[in-house]
Amino acid sequence: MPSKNRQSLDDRSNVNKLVYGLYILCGLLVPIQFLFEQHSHFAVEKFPGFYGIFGFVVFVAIVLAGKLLRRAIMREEDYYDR
Amino acid sequence: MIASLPPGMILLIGSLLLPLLKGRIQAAWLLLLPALSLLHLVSLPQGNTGEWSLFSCQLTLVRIDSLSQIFGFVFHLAAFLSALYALHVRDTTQHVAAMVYAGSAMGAVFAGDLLTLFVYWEITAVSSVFLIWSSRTESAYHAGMRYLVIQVGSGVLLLSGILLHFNETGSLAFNRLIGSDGQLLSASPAVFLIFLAFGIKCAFPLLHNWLQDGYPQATVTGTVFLSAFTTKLAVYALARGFAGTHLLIWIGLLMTLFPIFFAVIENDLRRVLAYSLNNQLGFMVVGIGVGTAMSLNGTAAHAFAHILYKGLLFMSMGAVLYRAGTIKASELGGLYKSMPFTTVFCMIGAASISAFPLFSGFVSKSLILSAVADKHQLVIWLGLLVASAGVMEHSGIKIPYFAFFAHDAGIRCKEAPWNMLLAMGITAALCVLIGCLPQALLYDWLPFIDTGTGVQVRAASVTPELDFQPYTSHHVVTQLQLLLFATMAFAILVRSGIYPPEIRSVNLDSDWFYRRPFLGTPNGGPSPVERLSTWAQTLRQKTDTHVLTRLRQTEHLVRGFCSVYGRQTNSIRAMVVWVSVLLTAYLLLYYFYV
Repeated sequence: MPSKNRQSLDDRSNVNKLVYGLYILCGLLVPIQFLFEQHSHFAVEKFPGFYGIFGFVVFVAIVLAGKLLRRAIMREEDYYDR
Repeated sequence: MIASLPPGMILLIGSLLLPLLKGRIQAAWLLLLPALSLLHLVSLPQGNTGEWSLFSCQLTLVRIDSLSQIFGFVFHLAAFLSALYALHVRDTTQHVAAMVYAGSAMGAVFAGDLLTLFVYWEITAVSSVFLIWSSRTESAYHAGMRYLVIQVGSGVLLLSGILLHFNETGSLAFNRLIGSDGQLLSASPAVFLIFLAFGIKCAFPLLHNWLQDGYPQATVTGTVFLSAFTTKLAVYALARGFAGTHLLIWIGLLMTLFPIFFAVIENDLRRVLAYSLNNQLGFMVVGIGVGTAMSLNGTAAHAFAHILYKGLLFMSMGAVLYRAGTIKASELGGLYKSMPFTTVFCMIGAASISAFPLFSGFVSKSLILSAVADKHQLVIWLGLLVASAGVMEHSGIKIPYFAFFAHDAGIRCKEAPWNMLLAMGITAALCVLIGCLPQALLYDWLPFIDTGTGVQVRAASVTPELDFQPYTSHHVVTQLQLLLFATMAFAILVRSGIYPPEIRSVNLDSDWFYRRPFLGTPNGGPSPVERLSTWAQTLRQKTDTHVLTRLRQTEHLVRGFCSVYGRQTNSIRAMVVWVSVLLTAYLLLYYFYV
């Protein structure tokens, strides 16, 4: 349902704007890296967009690992109260 | 006379007045105490004071150097801001507990010898548990008990270690305890015990669960106090006694990593913050383990910044719990409409802990990561980078997103009280200021210097020489890449429905090992401990019966023997015979053995 408030996050199009803005920002950050002098300690850092790819992949991996962990350790809320 | 008081003592003594005061006067006194104590601290010169000889032990009640100063200073700041946050609370027990707790943590940081450290160490344990018990629920009572047992256990280990150490070295001075090789394996059992005691309070892996168990059970304001002192006191103690201990690098790395998986699936947002606290301690512990001046300074800087942003995050979640009545992610959402200021402050805390440029975490965590990179430890460095993405997940995104945004849960409540907002506002401002002016506000106060022969705590007259520039364009861009791509991953996962939903649940952690044995079966049957107790009782009864029967048989035999003997002779003759037998036996023993 569109909200009366044009800034509201209940309005899906506003959320979309934010998310697409984020995608564009990410897209810009990779080439920007090469405009500046690099100070890398490790060879792996020189890989184009290393930090971005690393952040993305690791984030997804953490969330998926969390989902797996849930199968092993999640219990009913009153588990310790019985 | 006041000038000769040890730091923290103003809070300890001043808290005794709190029960006599009421209402606004009590509130004013609560704010005044940390302020007065800070003024007192600033007036004290560096050096050792309060030196006592107790029997043959040399005690140093107060040691002020640049390391104790930076921790002492941020402890005062935390005590003041937390007191401001708790100003609306009309519960004298909580106020007294909080002030005694803060005061003893300050005392501990300035303790020059191990025995004084132990005394304050135990006071922090005993006073802080009242902040958990003050929730006055049954589960808080039990959680507090478990917390207390573990905290006091840490104290017992510490005391045992101290006594053994004193026995070996004849000294109680609290300086570097680990040998110059940095190997814990070659250290004495005394040093190992002290290490373990520090490790419990620092929430090392498998020794950590008192933190996630206890902190979320404390009162709204109590958790804010708790988040500041105990664990950072342990970080201070490790930095003082165990700088450069290689094992700490791996312990710290494990600490940064394992909590992030638990934080992803935890529903209680204050418990998510407790996992996140554990993860942040990991960065500090790695810094201590690396042991260079830069890494140790990184630890001190990170502890300083962390106390503020972690306090801020706990404050914002406390405000949510206070107003919305729940802190479960599964029931929250859309609160930005009701609590706009709290939302902004929480997001500043989230940006700081995630180490966004211009926020405090960026300028402090970079020191530790750079120190690790300088040592070319690729595995550790990559591990810390994984942990950094993990921080972004649970503290940077999950906390603000599920409390204030996500789907609108329909909760409409008032904004937090003015004192909470003021406390959050000041803390948020400090997070941004430190992030923008790191040199003047943080780096110039860092305690460690490299003298060429080794890392030392610098004297007041020596200017710090930290050669570190966090705001290089390369560093800013790469950090933004890491964080924004992680955020993009979150957006994609949520929009595609892969991100795990928040579910009302508990997740098992290492506390399961000491809680499960006390739990009954789901259908109301006895717990393993009860079954064990019943079994032991039956066994005892059986043994008792058996032993009694045997005793009766023996008694019967002896009586029979005596009565036979007695018929043949009178009792005096019998006695003489027995005495002569005993004397002969004694003589023989004497002859053979002496």
